[in-house]
Amino acid sequence: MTTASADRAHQYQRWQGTLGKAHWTWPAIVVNGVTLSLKHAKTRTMLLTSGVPVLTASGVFYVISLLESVVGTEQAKGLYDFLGAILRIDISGITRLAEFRDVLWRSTFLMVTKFQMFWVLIVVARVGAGLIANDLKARALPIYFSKPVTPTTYLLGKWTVVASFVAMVMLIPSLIALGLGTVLAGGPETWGQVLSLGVDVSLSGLIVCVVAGAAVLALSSITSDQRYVTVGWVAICILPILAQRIINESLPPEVTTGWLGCISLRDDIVVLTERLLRIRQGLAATGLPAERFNQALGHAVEPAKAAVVLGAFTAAAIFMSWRRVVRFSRTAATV
Amino acid sequence: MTPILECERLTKRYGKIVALKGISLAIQPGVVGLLGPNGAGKSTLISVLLGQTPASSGAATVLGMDIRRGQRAIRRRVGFVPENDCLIPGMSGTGYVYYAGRLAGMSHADAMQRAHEVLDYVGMEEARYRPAEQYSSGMRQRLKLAQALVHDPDVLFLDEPTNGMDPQGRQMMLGLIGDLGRAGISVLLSSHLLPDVERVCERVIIMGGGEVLTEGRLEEMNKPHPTLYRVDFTGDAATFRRRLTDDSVHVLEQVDGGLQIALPEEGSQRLVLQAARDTATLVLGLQPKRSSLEETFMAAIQRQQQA
Repeated sequence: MTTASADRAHQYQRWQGTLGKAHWTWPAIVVNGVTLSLKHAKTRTMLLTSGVPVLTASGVFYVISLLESVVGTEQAKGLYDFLGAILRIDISGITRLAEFRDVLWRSTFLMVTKFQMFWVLIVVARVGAGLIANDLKARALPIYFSKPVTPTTYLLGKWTVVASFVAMVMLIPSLIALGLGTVLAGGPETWGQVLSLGVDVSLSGLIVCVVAGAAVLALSSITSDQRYVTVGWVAICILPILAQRIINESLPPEVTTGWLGCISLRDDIVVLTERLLRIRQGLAATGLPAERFNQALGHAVEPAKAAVVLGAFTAAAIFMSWRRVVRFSRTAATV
Repeated sequence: MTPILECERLTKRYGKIVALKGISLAIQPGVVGLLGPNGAGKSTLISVLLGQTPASSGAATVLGMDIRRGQRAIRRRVGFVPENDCLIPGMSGTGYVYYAGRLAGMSHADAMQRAHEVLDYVGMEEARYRPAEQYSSGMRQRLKLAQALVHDPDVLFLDEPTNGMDPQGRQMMLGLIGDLGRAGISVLLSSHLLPDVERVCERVIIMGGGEVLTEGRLEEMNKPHPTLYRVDFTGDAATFRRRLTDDSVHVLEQVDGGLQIALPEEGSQRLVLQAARDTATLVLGLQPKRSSLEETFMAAIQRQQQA
């Protein structure tokens, strides 16, 4: 118990330092958000398990390099079958493997991305749900808005917390997999390929960061109860996936290549990732018939429409959370 | 002396409700009390001065900076202690104050060092590493003061800083506020606890219904009334009263052992002595009435309600 003495032994000392620029307060919000989230053992465990796709991808790169060295021999059949099962693409027709290494690696990344989306879903729900909701619940907003923090810097800080975790779960493991793959399989001559692939993978990770961050912050600004945010997050992530499956099964494919194929945000992200990684064109260039990879890639949805849906959703989410935070900032003194 | 706060016809409307009705005031450096009942507009005034809520009309400056254009600059030089709890779960006292320092724009090293200094100052030496949600009400209030002080503001806005504190903690908080005033930090203390304001404030602003009802130095508010007196006496009260009334002295009420009277004009105490001599009454005491802050406050509120 602290002693509360009315007679202070020492007097208030003025501080002689200088404050930094007010625009740069948002990194403090990021560091605090990330630090607080990492205090939870479950979050740390999720981050650790997100390394599983990395190991898988590295293993696949190694198998591709093995296949390159034994192609045309008896051993190659088993490796073709293994890769076909992992990538869900029958690549047995590709004999000049070294030439088409890039597209095989890109296909591997698409497969990894689909797995990683599962981790992103859970980690963002865990980390992002309480980012604004907990501040509302604890009535902590006066602390932010009595300091030189604006609604924009506040939101930017909170969004970067989500983006940091998405990067930890998705982007960084992908880049590690790329590095490991280069060391294990490619060798120095593949650096050029890897650099281009690294840029595309980073862009695809950035799309997930933007969309997931905006969505979860919008939900988190609606209520002060983190549980409702989690329910809302699951609803906007899972339900459209199920709806999309039903639509795809019940309607002819040519109908679902347009707006009707863009209902699920997760599928839209996969469509854009596939477009960014240029997989369909790459696989077609190998001479493989389309029916061999169409099943793995799913039916073709127009990427522009998927981008419009994601863009509109993200813009609406950012606008909504910004509006809510501006409202909270204006009532912060009397919350 | 340059005022720390200046308002010129400052108005804030929430739809049809007018929370601030054209307030004009200038507050000099020092410890100033902001008194008023619930809904008086105290919190709205603080919110507007912090630049959180835009004013509907009028103008105001804090430390010479316009509240419309200099929000962030103002907040860098102002500390705010909100009325409610505002602790971030999962943080220790040190982490919380450090974070507040970082939000104010301090470097990592400065924020950490300063967090320890101010926590030490507010008397949270050994409790600083405990999770803040385990703190008692008094400790939470002191923690809120520490976060407001971490960047060494020139002005402090304190909204009910002694709420929920035990007498010992309250004394300590008031001691700290007084010390901050002596250290050159101007304090705007919003409170409904008149003894708190009387103890630490030099000036008082009384608000009601979104208006400034009265303001002034505390000693001026407590100065002797020019015409209201209390006279203690022994003798025939009825005769003495009648004689006083004949001389236009208004007898307000009979109190234990004496009368509350209102003299017809300032300096006419001789009328009381004259009446005593004429009625053979022995005057034991004749003292001007001193207004307490509470009386001033109540009178201001009543005038406002009647208006």
